[in-house]
Amino acid sequence: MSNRRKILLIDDETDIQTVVKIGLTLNTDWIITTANSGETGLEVAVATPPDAILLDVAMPGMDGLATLSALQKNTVTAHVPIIFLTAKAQAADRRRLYEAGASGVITKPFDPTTLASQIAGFLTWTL
Amino acid sequence: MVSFEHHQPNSALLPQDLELFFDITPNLLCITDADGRFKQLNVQFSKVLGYSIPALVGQSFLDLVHSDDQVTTQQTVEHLMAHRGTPTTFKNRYRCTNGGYRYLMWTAIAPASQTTAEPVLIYATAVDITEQKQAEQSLSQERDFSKAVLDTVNTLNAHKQTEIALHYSQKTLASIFDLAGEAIICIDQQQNIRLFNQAAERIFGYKATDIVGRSLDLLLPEALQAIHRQHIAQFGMSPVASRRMGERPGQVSGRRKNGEIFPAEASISKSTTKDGLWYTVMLQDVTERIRAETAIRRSEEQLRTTTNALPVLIAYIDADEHYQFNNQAYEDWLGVPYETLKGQSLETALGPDIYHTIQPYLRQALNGQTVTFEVEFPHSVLPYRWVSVSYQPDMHEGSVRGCFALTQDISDRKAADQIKHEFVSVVSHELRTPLTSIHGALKLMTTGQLGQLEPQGQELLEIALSNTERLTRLVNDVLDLERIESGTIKMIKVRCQVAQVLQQAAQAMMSMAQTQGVTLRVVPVDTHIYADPDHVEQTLTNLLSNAIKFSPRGETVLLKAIDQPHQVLFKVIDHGRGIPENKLETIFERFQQVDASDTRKHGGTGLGLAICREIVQHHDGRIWVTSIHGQGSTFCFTLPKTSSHETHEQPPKDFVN
Repeated sequence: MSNRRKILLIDDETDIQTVVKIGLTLNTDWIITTANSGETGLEVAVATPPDAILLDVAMPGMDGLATLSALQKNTVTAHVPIIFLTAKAQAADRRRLYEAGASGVITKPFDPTTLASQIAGFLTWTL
Repeated sequence: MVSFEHHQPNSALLPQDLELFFDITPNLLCITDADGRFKQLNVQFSKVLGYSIPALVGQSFLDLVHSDDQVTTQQTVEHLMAHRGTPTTFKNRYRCTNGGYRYLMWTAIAPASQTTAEPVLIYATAVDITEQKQAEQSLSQERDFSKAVLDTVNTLNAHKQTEIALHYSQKTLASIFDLAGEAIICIDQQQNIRLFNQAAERIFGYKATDIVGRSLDLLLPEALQAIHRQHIAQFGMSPVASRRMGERPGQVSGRRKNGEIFPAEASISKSTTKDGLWYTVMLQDVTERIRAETAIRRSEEQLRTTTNALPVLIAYIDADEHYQFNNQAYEDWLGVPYETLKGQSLETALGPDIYHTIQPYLRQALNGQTVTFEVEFPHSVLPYRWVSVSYQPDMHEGSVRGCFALTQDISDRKAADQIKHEFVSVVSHELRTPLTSIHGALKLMTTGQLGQLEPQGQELLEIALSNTERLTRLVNDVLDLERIESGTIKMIKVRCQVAQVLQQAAQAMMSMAQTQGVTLRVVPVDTHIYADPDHVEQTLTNLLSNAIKFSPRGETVLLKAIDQPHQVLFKVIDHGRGIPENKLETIFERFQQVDASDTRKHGGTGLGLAICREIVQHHDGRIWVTSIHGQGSTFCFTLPKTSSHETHEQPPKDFVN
């Protein structure tokens, strides 16, 4: 059994998925799984609970907050830390996400070269 | 009149019957002895004069008579005693218990005695004629003027042959008549003019010497001459002494010497002279007054037409918050005929919801301030959801009589604004998603972790990356500006320490300053501001970023704050190239930069200063710049130390332009 950390990325933009995936794999040994919607992400997370979830806020269907709420309600995923990716940069928006239970908030556009250290910082992981 | 036949009482009447008559008669009745002492009085003495009857018995009636009337009364009593059996009538004034006097008309008799032994008695009866006397007095006063005029006329006629008297009388007449501002025209029974004063000369254009002796018809429009003649003749026969001519002012017409017909107001009175019945006509030319009234009416109509044609709500509100004027546009808003609003209180006319929303502003206006605000009535059933209102106080001699109100429906504009804000917000957000991918991809490629490019390829990659970053900043700034302008971003104002805000802003810009080789120096001050710290920091970092960008290497950028009584003044001072004078005003506008190439060279968005201005204005502060071209610039802004609500009561600022 590998002790590599598992990250689930939920974002409807496949281009962003690719950038994140490349940025993280270039700098860490984390295993990156992706999902194109909140609904799929929820299924994947329940089936194979990851160590952390990167969650886009604005998505068609179940948006980021709805997905967060569903993950929190499920005992299997309730403990998984969630970091939001959002295009909304306002302090008030960030505050709302933290109040909902986020472990971190990363504003788009983000720098993929420093993304891993940002995530590790939020989760107090050592790279 | 009841009389007492003391010596030969009617055998059919018993003493008690007489007593009864004595008491029910409306006249005052009394019996006195020869010295005038009351022996018997009826109750009317008490009712009319206020005395108690028993108190008067034994007193002399002369004590009650007005001092001016005592001599004549005494003489009358002597006359009575000398002509026994003959009734005498006389008048005098009796004092009342309240200190006033009543006019009494007496009839008294001292009956002839049959025996000398029998004491002489006086029987007297009186009627209270006070009211009648007063009426006569006021009548006589009213007649005084016309009597004086007619006396003079009579004197004039009686002494025609006496030159001195004539001269004297004419002078008296002239002074009486010519003092009058009205035309005074006397005509005789044949309706020939006998007197014509100066005012009449002025009004009609005839000289008195030309017109006296000629017919009144000369002064009348031809069509009215016959009927006028008839009216005067009828008036001559009527019992009325004077009356107004025509039913309404201005209905009487006169004719001037030049033939012009003019409206007049006139009254006529009549008096008998030794030459027969004379009429005096007093007349005023009301041409000017009627013209002025017509002009006022026309200008009111014009004002009404103008205000009614305008698509804005125009009103006048009095100091008691009642409408005194509304234009027709109010019908579209309130759905009632606009005329019905006059005199209505605003609370009644607008309903409690709208009234309570606007009342604080109205109170300011009625305190003498000009107020302009935009306000939303989200729960109103009326068609206007958003309105822009201006109140202009109506000052008169230092006090506010009311205010002029101009209200405009801006619902459409607000809806359009809303759509614009939403559009900008959506577009900016949608732009960010592809930018994230582009930026991320380029960033990863520049690391070289995915393989090295040829130097030219690497250069192109750097260009792509820096422009992506610039585009990202632009999108961020556009979104920021829109959100601040639209009020989507609320300024969360708190009391914050100035030194701390300065320190944080300087900290944030430190690495940029180092990169540019510029020294950043902070001069703090121990005071506070009432502001949103995040946005103040944003303003400071924007200004510092500009200052650093445009400073030559080795120079110093100074950030300082100065404590003032009600505000704090912030200054960002650089020694860069400065701003030409013609740009000082426009520099805070969007996309206004000193040099068109600045955006490219310095990576700005052209929105930084516009954002600063929005933020400062949202704090009721002021922002400006002073600069000497070639020597540097000083950007200044002020922020209040206390909430505007703390210092003086004011409506929410969000709506005040």
